[in-house]
Amino acid sequence: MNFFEFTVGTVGTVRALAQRALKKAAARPFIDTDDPVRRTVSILHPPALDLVVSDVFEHGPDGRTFRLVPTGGKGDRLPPFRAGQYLSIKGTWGGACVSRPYSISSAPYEALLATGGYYEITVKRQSDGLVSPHIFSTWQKATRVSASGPHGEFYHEPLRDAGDIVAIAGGSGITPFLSMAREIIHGDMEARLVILYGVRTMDEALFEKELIRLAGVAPDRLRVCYVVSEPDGTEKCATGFIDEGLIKKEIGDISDKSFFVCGPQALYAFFNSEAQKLTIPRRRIRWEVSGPNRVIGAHPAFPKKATGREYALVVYLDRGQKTVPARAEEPILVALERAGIAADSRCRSGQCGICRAELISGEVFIDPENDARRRVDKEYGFIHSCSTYPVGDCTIRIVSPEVLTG
Amino acid sequence: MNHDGVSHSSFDESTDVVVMGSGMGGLSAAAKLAREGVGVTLLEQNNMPGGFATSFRRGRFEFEASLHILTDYGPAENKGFVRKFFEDELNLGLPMIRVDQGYHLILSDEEIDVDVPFDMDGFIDVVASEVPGSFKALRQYMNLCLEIGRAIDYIAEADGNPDPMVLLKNHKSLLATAGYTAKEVTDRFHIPPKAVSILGVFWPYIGIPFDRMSFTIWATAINSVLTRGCYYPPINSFQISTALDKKIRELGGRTYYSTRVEKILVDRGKIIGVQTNGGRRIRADWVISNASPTTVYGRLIHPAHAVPRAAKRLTAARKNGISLFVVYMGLDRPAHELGLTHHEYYLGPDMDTQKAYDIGDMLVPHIATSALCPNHVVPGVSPPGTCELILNQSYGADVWGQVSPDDYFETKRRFARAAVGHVERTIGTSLFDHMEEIESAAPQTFCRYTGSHKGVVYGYEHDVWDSVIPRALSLPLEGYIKGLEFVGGHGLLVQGYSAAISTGRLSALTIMGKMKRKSRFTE
Repeated sequence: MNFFEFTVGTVGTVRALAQRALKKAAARPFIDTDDPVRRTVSILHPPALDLVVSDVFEHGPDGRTFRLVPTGGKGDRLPPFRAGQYLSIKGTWGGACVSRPYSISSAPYEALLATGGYYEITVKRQSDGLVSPHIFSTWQKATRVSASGPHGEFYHEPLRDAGDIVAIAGGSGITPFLSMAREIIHGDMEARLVILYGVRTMDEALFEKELIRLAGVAPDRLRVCYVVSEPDGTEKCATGFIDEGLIKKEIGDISDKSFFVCGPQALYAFFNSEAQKLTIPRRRIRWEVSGPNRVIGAHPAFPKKATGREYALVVYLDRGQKTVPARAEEPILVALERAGIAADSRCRSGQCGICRAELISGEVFIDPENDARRRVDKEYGFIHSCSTYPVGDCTIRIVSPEVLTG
Repeated sequence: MNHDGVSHSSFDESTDVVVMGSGMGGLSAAAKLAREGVGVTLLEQNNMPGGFATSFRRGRFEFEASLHILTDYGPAENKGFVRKFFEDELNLGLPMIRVDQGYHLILSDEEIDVDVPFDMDGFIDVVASEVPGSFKALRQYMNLCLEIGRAIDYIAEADGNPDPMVLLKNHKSLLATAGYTAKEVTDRFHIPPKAVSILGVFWPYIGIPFDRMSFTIWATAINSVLTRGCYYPPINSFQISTALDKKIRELGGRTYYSTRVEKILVDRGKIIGVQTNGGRRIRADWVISNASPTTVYGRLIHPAHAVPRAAKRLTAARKNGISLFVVYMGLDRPAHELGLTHHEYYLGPDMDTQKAYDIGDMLVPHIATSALCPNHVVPGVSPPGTCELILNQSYGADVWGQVSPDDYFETKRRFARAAVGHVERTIGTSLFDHMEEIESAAPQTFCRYTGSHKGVVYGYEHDVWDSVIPRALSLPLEGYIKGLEFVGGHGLLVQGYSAAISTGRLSALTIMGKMKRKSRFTE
């Protein structure tokens, strides 16, 4: 007699109950795999989006907005998003498998339009960049675009943030605020928004007409204040920087207001010190992810011995390994991309953790101020490759893409 | 090609055992197999290990996704099976912190506001002083729970193959009570109702009403919390996942992340391998599934007609367990300044488990909440001057499926607002004014990250007919497809961290036993 036979004999009650339940089920002996929860997930968070450019709008010589729609036409829907979120655009350019995050500048309601939803992203051409020149030269109407779903934490959350938003924008950092402004004016977002938009010259300002038009619709809910740092004397707006004095003058009482900051890296450091002077509580400031530090070599803690150096990076993949060159002042992710390894990435700012990799050996530099790894990852030697710099020969293991190019 | 259309020769690689899913069950199974020198390949659809045992960051905060307390770990002098496995078998190098604080229970309508310690004598003393006259009945009741606990320990120590004579001789009470509900057994002890309400602090771990809950499960839960105490990893549950993941590779196992099993290949009633989302085929005679039978029998077995009717029947008879709605808060004040004095809270109007369960089947914000403030136990869990508070509410598996994608974010926000407001009022604190980060997770979130059917967190409901003993009974029956084993919340010991760890380890032993028999047979 084994344990099971024994138990069957002893626990008759259980057996009877089980029989009853099974008998009841016998009437419908099929497994109900219908899962509305999973369906919702696949709409909200698709692993990838296939989009197509339906329109292109120019903003001077170096700015372009691309309207992206689903490839399946009007019946094909886009995932809803929160104003301030971004898309990660993926592509292979010049042999490199690359991703770039772009804030969505259109409004959430526009993604859900019954007549055909869309996202818009605005790209600024950086002549020394890897991706934007390619986008400018190759994207036109009908170009197919591969993207992630909408991501990011840079959105207004009423349970946490004040109803009064002060946007601190610099250069192309205006795009998430345009999305918020459009949503507010459309009536789908309950908040009041004042945008302090820092530009070098008014020529650099994006969406000037659109913002003026929107503010004209509901001046009590939206106000835009340009701040020109290199004035030519013809401006009618504020000049200088978005500093303590300007914020006090334009905003007045800062209590119970939430500050949202998006722009070039210099703006972050500058606003951080102004915010301290203004004693804005930490929970009232939201920072958009800032992208990789372009001048990491200038960081005071960056090992000087590594400046200008290139190292050997051994990459363990699920199957096999590859040795690729890696420049000390470029994130490890960039070395992978240059080598044609389609490593997954998203925010490229060290925050989201999609590019998590195991550092098996070697010396790396991670800016301690911008180290958003989880505590366990720090302890067990995992890195975010988008914000980790090799300062010696390194060996890493990455979550492997199934398809390798190059 | 054979008659099922699956070619035996078209595999890209091979292994002894494929472990599908890297929750606690899958990781434990893979680690045990690797430890014993069995070739194991772990496949996980997410880009990192853990399933529910994970953490995530928002701003300067990092939140534990699911773990409140780890049971069956125990002190060095009275090791529970989790500790024996982690320390003695795997040498995992992960010393746990003892949670020396109990539960704070507030039942506003019953006027109960009490600290419940996590040790047997302390617990009985507290209840006896709150409810005069309850001491004797409670002591007897707890003795029964202790006996059940010892019996379960024995079954675990016998690696799932207990000697029936030993059970009959030494663990009569297990067999005597196995067919009864927690309510049926508890009623016989005539414990005063208020004391029963306090006992109810353990019900959120189980999540079905007293009059359907198996007494075995109930007594086991009480026993494991009160005799071996509660533990917590030094950082969070993702530490357990990461340590196991590293250990598997260190012991020669293979781990593939961002790799989903799309087909479990079956030929003539036997597992022959799996096929991944990338189209790769991995040959294996054994598959350990951390995914539920609903998913496996319903979607993954290939060809679909290889699923035996009996497997369909049992799967169809089972009821999905609960899912959760969770609110994670990062607050910009230390816990003591906000009056958050405890690691764990249970806050509700009363201990009417039927009512709490029924409300869970409606899409309305709940009142019954269990809350975790990890700052008291885990040093450095949040930056200096801050604290975290995590709220859990249980919902039926089908409730959140009603929410349309367009309403999803707003619904989550509405439910989170209600939950936070309720906790503010019950504890008498201020949370909204100190909110630096807030995130909420619905069944959709759990489905997204773990692949769980309908975002269910608690496996199948362990009705009396589908509890530990009956599942042990049906274990051989569940070998419907030769070479297929289930672990995790759907396995033998039902849901929970320690149960999943234990079923993982047991499934590894089961497979090794069958491998041995098979090799003897073929020799």
